[in-house]
Amino acid sequence: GSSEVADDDYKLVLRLSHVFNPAEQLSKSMDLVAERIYERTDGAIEIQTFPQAQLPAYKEGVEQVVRGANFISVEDPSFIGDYVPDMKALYAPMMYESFEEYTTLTQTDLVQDMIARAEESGIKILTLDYIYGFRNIITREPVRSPADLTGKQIRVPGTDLYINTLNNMGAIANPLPWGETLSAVQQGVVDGLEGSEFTNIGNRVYETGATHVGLSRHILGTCGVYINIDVWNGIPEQYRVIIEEEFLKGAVEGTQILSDNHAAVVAELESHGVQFHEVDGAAFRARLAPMYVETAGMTPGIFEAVFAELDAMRQ
Amino acid sequence: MAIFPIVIVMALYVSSIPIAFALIAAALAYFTFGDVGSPPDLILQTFITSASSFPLLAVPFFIMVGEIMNFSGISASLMKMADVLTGHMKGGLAQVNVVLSTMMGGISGSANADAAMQSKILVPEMEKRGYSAAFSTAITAASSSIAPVIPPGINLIIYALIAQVSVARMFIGGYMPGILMAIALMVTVHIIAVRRGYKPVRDKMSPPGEIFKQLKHSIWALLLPFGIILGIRFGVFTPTEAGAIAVVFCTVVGVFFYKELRWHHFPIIMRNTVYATSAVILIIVAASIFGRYLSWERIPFLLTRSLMGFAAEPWMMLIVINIFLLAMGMFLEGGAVLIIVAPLLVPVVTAMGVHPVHFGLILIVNIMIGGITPPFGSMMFTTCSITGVPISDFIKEVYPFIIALVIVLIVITYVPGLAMFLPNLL
Amino acid sequence: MKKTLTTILFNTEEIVSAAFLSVTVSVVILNVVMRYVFRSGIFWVEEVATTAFIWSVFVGAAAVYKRKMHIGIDLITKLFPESIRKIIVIVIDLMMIAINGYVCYLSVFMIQANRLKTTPVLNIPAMYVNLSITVGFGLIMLHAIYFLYKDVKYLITGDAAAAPPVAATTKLDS
Ligand code: NA
Ligand code: NA
Repeated sequence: GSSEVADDDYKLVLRLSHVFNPAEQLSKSMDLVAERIYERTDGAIEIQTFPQAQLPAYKEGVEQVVRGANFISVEDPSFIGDYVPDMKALYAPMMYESFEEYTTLTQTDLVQDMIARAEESGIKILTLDYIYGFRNIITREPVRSPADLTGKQIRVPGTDLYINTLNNMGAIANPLPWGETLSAVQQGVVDGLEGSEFTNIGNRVYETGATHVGLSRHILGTCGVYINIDVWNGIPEQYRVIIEEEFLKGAVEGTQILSDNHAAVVAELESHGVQFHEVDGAAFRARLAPMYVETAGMTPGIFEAVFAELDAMRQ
Repeated sequence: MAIFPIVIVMALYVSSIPIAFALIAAALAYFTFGDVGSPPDLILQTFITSASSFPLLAVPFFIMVGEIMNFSGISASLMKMADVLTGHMKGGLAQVNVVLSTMMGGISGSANADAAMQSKILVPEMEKRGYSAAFSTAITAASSSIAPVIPPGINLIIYALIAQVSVARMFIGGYMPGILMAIALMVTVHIIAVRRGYKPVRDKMSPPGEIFKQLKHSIWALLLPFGIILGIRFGVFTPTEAGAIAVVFCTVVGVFFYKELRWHHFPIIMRNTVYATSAVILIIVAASIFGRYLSWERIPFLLTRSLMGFAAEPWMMLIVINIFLLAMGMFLEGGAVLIIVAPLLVPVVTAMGVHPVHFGLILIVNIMIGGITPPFGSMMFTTCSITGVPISDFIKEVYPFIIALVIVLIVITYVPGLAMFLPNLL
Repeated sequence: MKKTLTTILFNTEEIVSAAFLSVTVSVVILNVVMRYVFRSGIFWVEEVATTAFIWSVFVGAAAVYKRKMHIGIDLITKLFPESIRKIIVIVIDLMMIAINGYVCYLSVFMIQANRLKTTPVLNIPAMYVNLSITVGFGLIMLHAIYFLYKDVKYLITGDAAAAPPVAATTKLDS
C-alpha cells in the first residue's frame, strides 16, 4: 500500500450501506463509528451511513466494493463467499455455541489467511466481528429435537442457506417475504419462523401465538465490514489506522451491548409468556452433516480445519 | 447536493418523453456524470431487484382480474345490481354511477379502467335520459377515484411495499375512506339533482323480490371481494396469492355461471394485461432507479430535516403535506406521485407519530383527487377523451365533487380513529 | 396464411410477454394448491415467478413502446405548429435511441461483470435474468430507430402515409 502523507485538504466521502433498521444495535454502532472517525480525522474521512438497504445491499453492496466504488459494505461473511469460497465454512449452520467462539475463530491464522485472500479479489476486510445474535426456532409447539420439527412449516428468508438448513433440521422450509410472515404465522399458513430474540420482541412475534423458542442457535448472525482495496490503499496511512481501530472498537462494544441487552430481552419475552427450550444440539448437528461438505471452489478439509479450531477452544 | 437529475426529469417529461424513460435517463446521467464514486453499470442491478419482488406480482394479477371482469359478464351484473339498488333515487343514473364504482372497487383496483368502462357504458345512457354530457363525464371521473381506495387496489399494495406495512392492514384500511368518498359523492349528486330536477330511473324503490332476484344473479360477482378479504384474514392465501386466486375465480364465474367468457377473449385479456402491467411496472422500476439517486444524495434525509423544521406539530405537517400533494397531483400522475413521494414522506411523518397505515390512506385519497383535477388529472383525460367533453366544460361540472372529496380527505386526516378503526382490529 | 404470419411477427413481443406472465400466474396458483393438498409449498416458486415476471415486464415494455402507449404528457404536440412538431419528434426519437441504447450498452457490461453470479434459490447463472434488460431495452431502441426513419421520411417527403401512428399517450392505471 501507499503511505502518502495527508495534506490539509484531504477529504473523502464513503457511503456505508447495511440492511438493519435504525433501532437495531448494528445501526447504532455504525453511526457511532462513523461519527468517531469523522471527529478523529478532523472531517477528512466522512462516512455517511445508509440503513435499511437504502443504498445497494447484500450481493449488490459487495459488488459496489469489488468494482471500486467509494463504498463500505456491511454484510454477513457468506457474501464474501462468492469471492473466497472458504468463507462459506464460517457461515454454516450450528457452528458456534457462543459469541466468543466466533470472535476467537476470526483471529486464527486459518481465517486471517482467508481475509488476506479476499484482498486479491479487491476486498479489504476491516473486521468480521460485528454480531447481531443467534437465530432460533420460534413455533407454536415446543421444539427440542428434530422429531419435534418434522412436518412443520417454518418461514425462512429466500436464500438456499436457510432453506437447506431448515430442511435438513427436519422442518419444511417455506421462504416467505418478511412483510407477509407475521400474518402467515398468526393464521397458520406456516407453523413458525426462525429469528433472534431481538426480532421476536421488535416485531411482537409472540403475539402471533408462536410463543415457544427452541434454542437451536442454528445461525449466528454476523457481519463484516468491507471496502475496496484500491480505495483503501488510496487513503493516507494515518487515517487508515484510525478507521481500522474504530471499526474494531465498535464491534467489541456492540457485542457487549448486545449480550447485556439479550438478557433483558429474554426476561421481557418471558413476561409476555414466551417459553425457551434447550434443544438436542448433537441430534440436529448430525442431521446437518450434509451441509458441512465442501462445495465447488472450497479447499478440501476446510470444515474439518474450522471444527478443529473450535474443538481446541472447547477443551 | 446535485439537483441536475431533477431538472433533467422535468425537462424530458415536458418534452413528451414518457415519464419512465425520463426517470431512467436522469438517474443514468447522475451515475455517469455525477460525482458518485461508483461505476454506472452497477445501477442496472436496481432494474432487476426492484422488479423481483413477490408482493409486486399482485399488480398484474389484479389488472388481469379487471380485464376478465369486462368479458365475463361480472361488470354487467354489477351494473344491474347498482341500478336495482339506487335507480329510484333522484339523479338515479348518477347514483348508479357512484355505487357501481364502489362495487367494482371491491374487485379491481384501477381508476382508469373503471373510468374508461363507465364512460363507454354509462355516459351514453345518462345522456339519453337528459343528463348533460359534461355532468355525466364529471361524475364518472369523480366516482372512479373510489375504485382504487376500496380494496383490493394496486396503490394500496405499492404503498404497503414502500412503507413496509402489511398489505392486509392497508386493504382493510381502505374500506372506510372508500365508503366515505362514495357517501360524499352521493350526497353531492343528490343536492345537484334536486336543484336541477334530475329524474329517477325508476318510479319507486325496487320491490324486495326484484332486489333478491338480482342479488341471486350478482351473488358470484359480489362474493369475490368477501372471498379475498376472508381468505387473507384466515390464512388461506397471502395478499399476493389472492390476486392469482381472483383470476381463477373470475374465469370460472365467467365461463360456468355467466357463460359469457369465450376462448377468443383470452388473447385480448392477455394483451391488455401485458400492456397495462408493463407500463405500470416500468414506471415503478424507473422510480426505484431514480430513488437510488435520491438516497445516494441523501435527499430524503435532508428533506425530512427541513420539513421538520418547517412544521413542528403533526397536524401542521399534515396540512403542509396535503397541500403539497394536491399541488403535485394536479401536474403529475397519481401513481407516479405515490412512488416518488411516499419514500420521502413516510419517514418524516412516522417520526412525528403518524401511523404509516393512516398516512398511506391520506396519501392515496389525496392522489386520487389529483386524478380528477386539472390540468393533468389522468381520469379526467380518460373520461374526456372517450366522451368528447371539452376540459373547460368538465371543470365547471367537476368542482363540487372535488370539494366533496377534499372534505372527506380532511376528515380522514384529522379523525385518525375513523381510518384506523378497521386496521387496528387486525 | 401470410397475413397470420405477419400478425404473429408483429405481435411477437406481446406473445412472449404474455407467455412469461402466464408462467408467473400458473406457478403462484400451483403453490397455493400444493400447500393445501400436499401441506408443502414449492421452494422455487418465488424465484421462478419473479424471474418470469421480469422478462414479461421488459419485453412487454417494448411492445408498449411499439404501440406508443407509455405514459407521459403530450405537451409538445399541443403547443407547437405542425412544422416545428415534425422536428421535435425527431429529436425525441434520437433521445429515446440514446437512453435505451445506453441502458443496453451498460447491461452488456453488467452481464460481463456478473458472469460468476447465480440466483439465490435455483443457482441459475444471473445472466438469464439480466439478459431481460438487454433484450427489452434493445428492442425499444430498435423501435425508436424505426420511428426515427419514419419521422425523417415524413419530414423530407411530407408524405403522411410515412408518418408513424400519432402518439396515443395513455395514462397510468391507478
Ligand atoms: Na362511476
Ligand atoms: Na379496488
